Amino acid sequence: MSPFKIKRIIGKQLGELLIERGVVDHKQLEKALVYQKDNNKLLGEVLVELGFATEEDIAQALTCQFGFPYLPLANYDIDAEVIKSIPENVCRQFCLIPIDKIGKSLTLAMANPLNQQAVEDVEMISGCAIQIFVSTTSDIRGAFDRYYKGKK
Amino acid sequence: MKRVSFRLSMSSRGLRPKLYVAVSLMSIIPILICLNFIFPNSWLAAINLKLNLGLVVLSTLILASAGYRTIKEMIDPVIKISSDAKMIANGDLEREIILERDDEIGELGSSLNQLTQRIRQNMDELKTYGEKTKEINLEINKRVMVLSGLLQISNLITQNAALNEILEISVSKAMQLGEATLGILLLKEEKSDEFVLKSAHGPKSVELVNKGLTSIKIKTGEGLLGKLLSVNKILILDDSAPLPKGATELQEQLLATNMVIVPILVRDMVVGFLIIGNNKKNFRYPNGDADLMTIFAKQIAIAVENEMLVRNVARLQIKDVLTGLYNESYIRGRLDEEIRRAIRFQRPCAFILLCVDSFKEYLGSFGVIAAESVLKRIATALLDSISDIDKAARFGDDCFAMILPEKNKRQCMEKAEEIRKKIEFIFSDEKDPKHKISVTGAVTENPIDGISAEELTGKAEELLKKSITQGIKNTIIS
Repeated sequence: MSPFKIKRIIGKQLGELLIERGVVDHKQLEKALVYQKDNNKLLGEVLVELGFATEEDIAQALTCQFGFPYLPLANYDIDAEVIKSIPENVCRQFCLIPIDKIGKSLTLAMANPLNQQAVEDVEMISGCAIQIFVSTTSDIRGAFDRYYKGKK
Repeated sequence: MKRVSFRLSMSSRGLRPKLYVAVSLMSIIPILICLNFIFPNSWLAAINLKLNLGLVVLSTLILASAGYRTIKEMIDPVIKISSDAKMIANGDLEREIILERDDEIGELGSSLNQLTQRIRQNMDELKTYGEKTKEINLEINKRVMVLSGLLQISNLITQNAALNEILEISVSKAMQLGEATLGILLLKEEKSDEFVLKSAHGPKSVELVNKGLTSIKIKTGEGLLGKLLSVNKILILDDSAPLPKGATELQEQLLATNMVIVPILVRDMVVGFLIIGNNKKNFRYPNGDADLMTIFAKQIAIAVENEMLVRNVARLQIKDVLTGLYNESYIRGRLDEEIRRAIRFQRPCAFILLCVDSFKEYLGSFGVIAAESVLKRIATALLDSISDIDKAARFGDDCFAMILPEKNKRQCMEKAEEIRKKIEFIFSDEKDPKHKISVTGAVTENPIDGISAEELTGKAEELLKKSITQGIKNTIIS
């Protein structure tokens, strides 16, 4: 079992977390939820889009609440072998990227560390225990652009 | 005695006694002259006629023979007329009574001639009427055949016969019209201007096919057929009217000089052409043929539209008739949709493909009804095991597919294993080991195994194929 699972027992949604941290208020959250319904987007994305929060706000909210360390990916170099350990499909869909692999321990940067299923999938594929860092969606997408050259 | 012989005699012979009577009557005058000569005191002496005996006898003879001749001349033509008339009455209408006389007998002859001529004319007229009636009967017969052909076609349409069969019969029946040696049907390919030769009948069509004609490209407005596309009117090429522009090319292309070309209309769109033709010289199509051809074209249109509707209905059908689960095409569509949603929300989406182990052997041993009942029981078990947002479908003959949105591989494996166990349990009571049904399942997941429905189903099918060759049964693989 990954350490992640124990933490997940807290079971709080991102919206609640942000309100607790005072990043957004109820009104903004409701507005964002309505907007999310109409536009089929993730809550974090909507909040950023509507200007209620920054990507860092969201990443840090996750970091504080669950104790995931925050990792700004922009200046981080990843080993090509490590990148290959998880298929591109999986990384792109779950918005995560492997950043380091030491023995049977794989470190991931994720935009949404609450995505338990994604972590499970990565565990299954790599056969490693997973360490999670939180990063912003744009940083991770930037990493995709850097490491998956020539592809979409 | 005299009266009896008169009665027995034919009318022509009856005239002879009259002639004798006339001769004897004519003899009275010479006899009277002779008497006057013998008895000079009689009243004739008063006119003081003095003649010698020789002269008297001579004149008497002359007079008598002249009288006989006169009467014979009168009677003979009558006898001739009578015998001629008898022959005419016996049916020799060509016979003419030839009498060069201008007395009453001549008139009688010519009247009889006129009469025979009339009769002859009437007979001729009757004959031509007879021939016309025969032709009309033949025509009616032909029409009846054609109409019964049409009836046969509508029967086939109502019985949902195969489209090709209906088309073949329609063309062969349409060829009964217009002395056709060529009968072809061109149908438009969907989303192209290609008109494919769907059916060809008659000796000329064989030539056409041998020539390598399988389809004709028809663009609106180009060529004679192209023009027909836009005006959608029936076109007749025959001797009754000068040929329109472009007709010669078409005649060369289709190897026929006379043609009836009928557009086939489905929902106001020309989807094809029914064409019959022949190579007769100075040929004109009878009046009704064009109308009948139109009916044939309508029947074909109905059949074609029917086929289109049936295809549409099949496409709209989402449930499998036997199990009540979704069908394969629907689940494939839904899987694509679910994958798109999963990608958008950064979620996983899993797919299970379950196949009944050794289903074909089971079907062979226990028959269709038993096999179908197995499928139904499994379908019920599947529906019981999945949640509201999951979807289960019949997939191929002996397989089932399930979409489990929001589930990753581990969760999906657990679910598949649960279902496998359930099915194993359902059939565990069966005493005959052959009745103990089990399933083998493959689990694939978006994004691990692919980002499209095809990839997920394809990979699952591949996994199952491999398991069959390895003899794996009653297991879940991924």
